[in-house]
Amino acid sequence: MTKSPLLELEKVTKSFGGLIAVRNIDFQIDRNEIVGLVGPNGAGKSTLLKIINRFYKQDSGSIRFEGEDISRLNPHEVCKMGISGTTQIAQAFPDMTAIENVAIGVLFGKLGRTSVNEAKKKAAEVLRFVEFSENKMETLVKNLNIAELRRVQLAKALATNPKLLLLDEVTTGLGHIEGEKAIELIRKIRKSGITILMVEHIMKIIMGICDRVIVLNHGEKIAEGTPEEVVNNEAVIRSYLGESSDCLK
Amino acid sequence: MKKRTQLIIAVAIIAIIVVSAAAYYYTTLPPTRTIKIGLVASLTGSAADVGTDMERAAMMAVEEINEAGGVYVKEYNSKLKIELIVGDDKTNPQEGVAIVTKLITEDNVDVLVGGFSSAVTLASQVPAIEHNVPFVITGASSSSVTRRTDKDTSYMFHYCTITDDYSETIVRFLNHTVKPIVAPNRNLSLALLYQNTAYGQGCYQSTVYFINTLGLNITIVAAETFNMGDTDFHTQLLKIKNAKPDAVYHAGFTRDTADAIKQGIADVGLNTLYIAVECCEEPQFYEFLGSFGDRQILESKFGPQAESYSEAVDDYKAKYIERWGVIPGMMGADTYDAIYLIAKAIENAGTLDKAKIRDAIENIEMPQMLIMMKDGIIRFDENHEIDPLCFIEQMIWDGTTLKPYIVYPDELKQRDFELPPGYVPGGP
Amino acid sequence: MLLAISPPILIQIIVWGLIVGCIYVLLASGLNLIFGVMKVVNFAHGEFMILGGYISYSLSIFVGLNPYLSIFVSMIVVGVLGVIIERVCFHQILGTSKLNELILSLGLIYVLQNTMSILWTDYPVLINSPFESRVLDWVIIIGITMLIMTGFYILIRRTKIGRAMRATSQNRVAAMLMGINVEHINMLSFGLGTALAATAGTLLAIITSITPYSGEIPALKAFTIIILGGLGSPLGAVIGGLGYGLIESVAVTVLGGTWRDAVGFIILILVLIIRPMGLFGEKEI
Repeated sequence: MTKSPLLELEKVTKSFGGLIAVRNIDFQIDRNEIVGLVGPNGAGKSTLLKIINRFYKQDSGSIRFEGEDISRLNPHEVCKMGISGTTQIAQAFPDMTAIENVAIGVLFGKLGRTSVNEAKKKAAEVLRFVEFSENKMETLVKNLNIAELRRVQLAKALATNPKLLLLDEVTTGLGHIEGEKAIELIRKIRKSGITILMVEHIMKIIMGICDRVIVLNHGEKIAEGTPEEVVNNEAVIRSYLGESSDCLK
Repeated sequence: MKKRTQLIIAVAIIAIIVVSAAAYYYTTLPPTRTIKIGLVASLTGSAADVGTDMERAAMMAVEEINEAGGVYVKEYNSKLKIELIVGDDKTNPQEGVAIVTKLITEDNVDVLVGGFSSAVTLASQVPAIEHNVPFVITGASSSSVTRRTDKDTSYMFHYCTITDDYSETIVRFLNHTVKPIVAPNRNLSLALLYQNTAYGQGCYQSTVYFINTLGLNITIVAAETFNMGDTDFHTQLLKIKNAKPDAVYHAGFTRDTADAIKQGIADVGLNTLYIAVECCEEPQFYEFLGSFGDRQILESKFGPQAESYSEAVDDYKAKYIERWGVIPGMMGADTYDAIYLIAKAIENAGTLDKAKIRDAIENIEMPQMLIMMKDGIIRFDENHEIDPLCFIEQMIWDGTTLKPYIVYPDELKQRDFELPPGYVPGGP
Repeated sequence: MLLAISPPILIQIIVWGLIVGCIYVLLASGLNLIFGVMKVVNFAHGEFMILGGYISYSLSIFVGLNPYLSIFVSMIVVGVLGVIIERVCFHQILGTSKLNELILSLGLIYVLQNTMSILWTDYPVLINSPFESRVLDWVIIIGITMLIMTGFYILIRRTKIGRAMRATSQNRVAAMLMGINVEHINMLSFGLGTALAATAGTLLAIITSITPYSGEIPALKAFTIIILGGLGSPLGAVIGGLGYGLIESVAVTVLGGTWRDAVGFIILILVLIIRPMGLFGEKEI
């Protein structure tokens, strides 16, 4: 029995009002990988993530998850299949507590029935896993700071019991120490058996944890390979010219 | 190509000949036409029940006149048929203006009839005033429709009892019949609950006026208002209860009057004598009220539900039931009379010239029909108003239906007035 | 002015304000739910209310069902109709433009009014209470409102579906990311909101009479209440509804019946000047 890759994209194209955001993207992600998606601003990274979790409908091309075609499904359906993620702007339910926020993911994010009490218990576990402070679990989310909110967001995504986790700039807005902690957490998540596709603009983070990197520019894939391969790729260097050279090193 | 040109020329010539022949034919033929009467009625909105009754009555009168051959108009030397064009004012002043304008400018009506609710009619009569179209108003009960100071109302006629008639009849009845029974040694305490419209305010003001000018021993202890279309009168009734009246005069439409009486008796426990005004003389009013209407009072000028008191009314009632399957309502009677009045006026005028029709209506003299007149003759006074004879009915619940009997004035009286069951007299 | 009124009558005036307030609470809560979840301003809410009243009326006349029991049948019928209308109408245009939603819900007013006018005519109807004593009716009306609002509260606060509704109303994008079928939640919220309106309509037809056109002003008042109470605040709708009923009753007593409809809007304008987020609302997030 040959196992199909976890996620396969084939010739995925999406445009907004005539402006092409991503064009003919092909790639695969295997189980238990951490794949980085990089590129200059406006390269189409976030758009691609939103197509995978079905917020956007692609114009053409197909997407398969565990061999099943998900090109026509809705966000809540792929969520139940095991694709979950965070967005650039932290999305939460402001008038619910941290634990309630995460419990929503447990209740609706996967197939099968769960009681509200079980969900809350599971939510607390997930919050502990992401090292959310114990004494803020009953705090309304609107009263949390940005670092706490990022953890809640991560916990919400994990609560849906995903196989594939899509992370969109989880370190944005975090200080240096918090950023380090976030990277630790991503490793810990992978260790628990979850595949990760992450968008990140800080190359250092990508170099540190990714097994493989896909580079986008102007909506097209220009390179793919190990972090080392990618940073030495000429097309990549050209596309990053004008950007701060820090990005590469 | 040449053949086609010839064909086009031939067709054009034939067309020109046909059109000019037709035009010639029609201009030389004696003009025959119908008399166009525009009916303004509230077919939808809060007064839809009344408007429907007006429409039915008007249709009956028109059918009757047309079946008898029509109206002889000297100018045409023939009997012309009447065409009734109905316009719905939707019980709304803006809609009223729009529909009257349409009746005048698009349908080219000769005369207008109808109009219910003074508030609506005061607006909808304006296009008729501006275009000099005679308008026999059969529904608005405020005297202002023919007594405006801001507009020339010389084309407006009011074939309808007005709030002055209601209130005068009511206060005279209270003083003559009710006061000796409930308040022989003190002033009778009267409360008013009136619609905050030209009509309701007219009822209130004329009540005050007639109590004062007639020197009656009646004191107004409460005067509460409500808005057109309101359905909840509990708070006002509680306030009235607090004022301890001997009787409550409700000046409103069928629906709010029935609601207020029910709410007063059932919810508020205000067990008093309720007086409704004539525009409630609708079959629905008796149905809504049911047993709550027992021994309550209705001022009226046309009583199709009452025992026989006039042959004309009996005839009309029978024809109406046959045609529509229901008992006629109140405002329809005025409209029915008004159509006959207009027909008679046009015949007298001998023309469809609007100014001449106006003059003929102004000078009309004909025997009373459904609405009784004090001297038995339909005629308009200097204010373009009639002098109707109103009466007071008492509704009696016999266990299954509510039926009115005339209790005042003495010349029409069918039974003696009694106090309602559980009546609690008020205080000074 | 209030002092001139004898205490027993004053108590009756207050009780009456609360009874009318109950109807406002039910109406405003449903409207609030629909607005909260779908962000749709359902101007036709008053017509769903009146439709509920007519269905209960017909059940009590033709089936002889106790009107207080027919509330529950009427809730289901109107709720299902609400679901269908959401599917057929609102679902199609949701998110296209606010103007489309506005025109659709305004258009629905006339569709529903005319349909009711054809089915039940324009003559007012009243549901006759099966009880001799009106006091019993009032107790039942307050009791039923408490019962239904408690059920509503439990549904929203304690059940899975209620959590999904709250989540969707607080953040639609996050709700989708968490596996909530928001279209499904729209449909259920609209159905539940209109079912609450149907309850209000039945109670209204028991205490006063209704015509197909009676829903317009109560719907406007319900909007006032949810703006006063703070958009999306369930407690605000309850306190706002009861408060509105009381204020209206007192205003009629002190200022006269003409002021019944105007007073609430005057208060609305004053409150919005002082507290733009409403009395119980939070700032926009």
